[in-house]
Amino acid sequence: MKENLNEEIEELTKIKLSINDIKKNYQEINSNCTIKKDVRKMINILDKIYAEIFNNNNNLNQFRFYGDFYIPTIARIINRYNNLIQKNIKTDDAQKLLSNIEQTIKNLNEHFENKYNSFFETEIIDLDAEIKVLLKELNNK
Amino acid sequence: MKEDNKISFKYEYREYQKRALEEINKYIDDNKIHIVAAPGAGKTILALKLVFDFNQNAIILVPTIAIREQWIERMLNDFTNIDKEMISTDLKNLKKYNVISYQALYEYDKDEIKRIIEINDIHTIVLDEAHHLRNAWWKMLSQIFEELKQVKIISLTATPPYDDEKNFDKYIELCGEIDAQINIPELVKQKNLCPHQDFIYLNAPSKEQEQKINNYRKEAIKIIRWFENNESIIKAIAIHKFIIDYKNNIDDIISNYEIFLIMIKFLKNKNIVIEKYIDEINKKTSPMNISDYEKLFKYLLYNNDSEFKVIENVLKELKKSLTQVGAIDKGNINLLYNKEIENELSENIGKLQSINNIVEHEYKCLKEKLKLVIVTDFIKDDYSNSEENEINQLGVIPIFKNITEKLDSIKVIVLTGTTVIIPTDSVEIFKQICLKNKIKEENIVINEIGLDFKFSKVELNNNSKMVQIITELFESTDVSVLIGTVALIGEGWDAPFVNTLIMASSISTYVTSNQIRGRAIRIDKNNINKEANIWHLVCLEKLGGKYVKGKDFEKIEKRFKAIEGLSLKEDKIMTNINRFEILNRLFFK
Repeated sequence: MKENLNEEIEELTKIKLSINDIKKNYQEINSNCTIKKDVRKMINILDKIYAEIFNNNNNLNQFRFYGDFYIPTIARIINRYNNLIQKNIKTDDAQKLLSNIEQTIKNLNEHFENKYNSFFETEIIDLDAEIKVLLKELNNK
Repeated sequence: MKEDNKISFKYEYREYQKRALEEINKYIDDNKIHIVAAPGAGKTILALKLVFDFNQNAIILVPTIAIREQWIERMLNDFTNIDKEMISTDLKNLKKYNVISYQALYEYDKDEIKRIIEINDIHTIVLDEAHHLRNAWWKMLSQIFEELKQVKIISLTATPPYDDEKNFDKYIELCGEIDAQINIPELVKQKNLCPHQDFIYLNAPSKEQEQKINNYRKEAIKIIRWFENNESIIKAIAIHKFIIDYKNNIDDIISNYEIFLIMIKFLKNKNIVIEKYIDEINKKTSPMNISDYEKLFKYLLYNNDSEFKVIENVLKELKKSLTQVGAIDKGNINLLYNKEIENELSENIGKLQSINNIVEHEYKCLKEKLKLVIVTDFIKDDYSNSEENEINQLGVIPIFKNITEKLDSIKVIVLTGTTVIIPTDSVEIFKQICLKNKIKEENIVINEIGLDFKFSKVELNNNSKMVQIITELFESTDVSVLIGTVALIGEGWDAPFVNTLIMASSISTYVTSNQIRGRAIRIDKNNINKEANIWHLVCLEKLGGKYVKGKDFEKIEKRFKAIEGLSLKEDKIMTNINRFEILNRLFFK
């Protein structure tokens, strides 16, 4: 059991540290930027996910690889977004990139919401089935 | 003031008083004089000398009416060129020299007090037993004196509140740094306090108490086992920012360094892999001990650390379990005892036997010369009306009953604010002393008590002189033992003939412990060879068949930190309980 626990802790640590990086980068986003609201939303979803995977090993397994690559990458992207904004580059390519990042954050938010909801799918399916069985039994009486 | 009208001390100052006066002169620049001197050192005389030398309108603030009267008596008896007309005790009608109780001051607010001082041209204020002022008043008076820079403040105390960490700075702000100090050993050497020694009388808890303690600890251990095997808790600590992100949280770690170390210890004990750098910090891994768990639980439940929000529900369960066994008391966690057990140990029934043994022993040694005082915390009056109640608590009345039942040849007085009991055969002398103090017989109520009427409860219609009358009765008759409460006789009670004291109190604070001991170590002009014994009672504990120190012992240890006395083995005066070398004794091995 101890070995699994150490592994679990290692995974959770990676995820938590990278969420923390996103939070730090969020602080540096200029308040005029539209992306700020979406990153805030992302942090809220990730915090909810974190609480869920902390308490449920099965859900952690589903989210296992996010801590290795996906979330650290998101943190880096936001960091680079901040750098570009600060440098105030007005070229078309730069503006296109910024819009791209803004849209990506929105898409990722949708992805994370779905991911969070998926944690409860099995539970919902099981509960739905249980209710159907109960109603059927009652009707038979 | 003309020399022949000058108010002077009639007698010779003692050596240490002369020294103190010299020291004071060096530090008078800040208009604050702070004198710390053991009871009996003559602080009153020192302060009065300064007041009369300054020759300005003065207010002397004192803790009680009894002490107020003592000040006035000193002024009139020990100084020349002063009479009653120059003295007032009424804040609404001040004269040149005024002695007022702190209680009278509390009716006024800051502006009113400032006005009183200014209108009456008060330039000297004495704060007697300055530690008595309510905490809030230290700050307020400091502010007033800050604005009235011409006022000289003379603060007197035997016991600065060293162990009041929260308020000590405010106290020093008001009184100033200590300018002169007179210690007990110095006074004994100069024969201004009597030679004395402390003794510690140990007893063990009863079988029932031992069982209660063991049962409590079993419950506490269950909670600890649940805690240390709870995976959510282990994970939450392992992933805490102190552990996984220490570089970015140095300030927080420093502020909570002890908890940081405990977390590392906890994780290492659970064989959780932590970063090497963190691992190095607490190299020698010792098992978590009870104190570690107590501190960790307290941190988890009361520090609102957001890192533990993820295990909110688990912590609620922890709090519920601890509350159910009584392990939480005012935000503190105690896994060895709950409040009930702690009180039971302090008021341990075995101490009643200890008291009897001490009384019997001291009576064998001193016989009719014994004047022994027992000071305790509570009266426990419920015992006085019933003959049938089994005595199972410490208190004035249980102690009284226990002594009178088992040592019936020894005469006892009880003196508390609500209950006064004297031997019936002393009633006539009591009445004579009352008469001497202008109390008529119709104002005295006497009721015999008990099956044999050997004792009587006495009351006066006006109780203000009761302490004085009973003190005189105690001194002048063959009564050997007086039992009283800390509240009434713990401080300021003047009875220099007392030669033995039993501290049957759980008090461990510096201020009160020293004040209580002060009752026994005064010199007695009628007995220049007086020596005093001061007894302290401690209930040890048993763990695995062996005696261990325990909570009650810890209280006495704290008490002795501030008590100076003779070492048992070396020619030294020491503070600290180590001078008795108790832990080397056989029963601890």
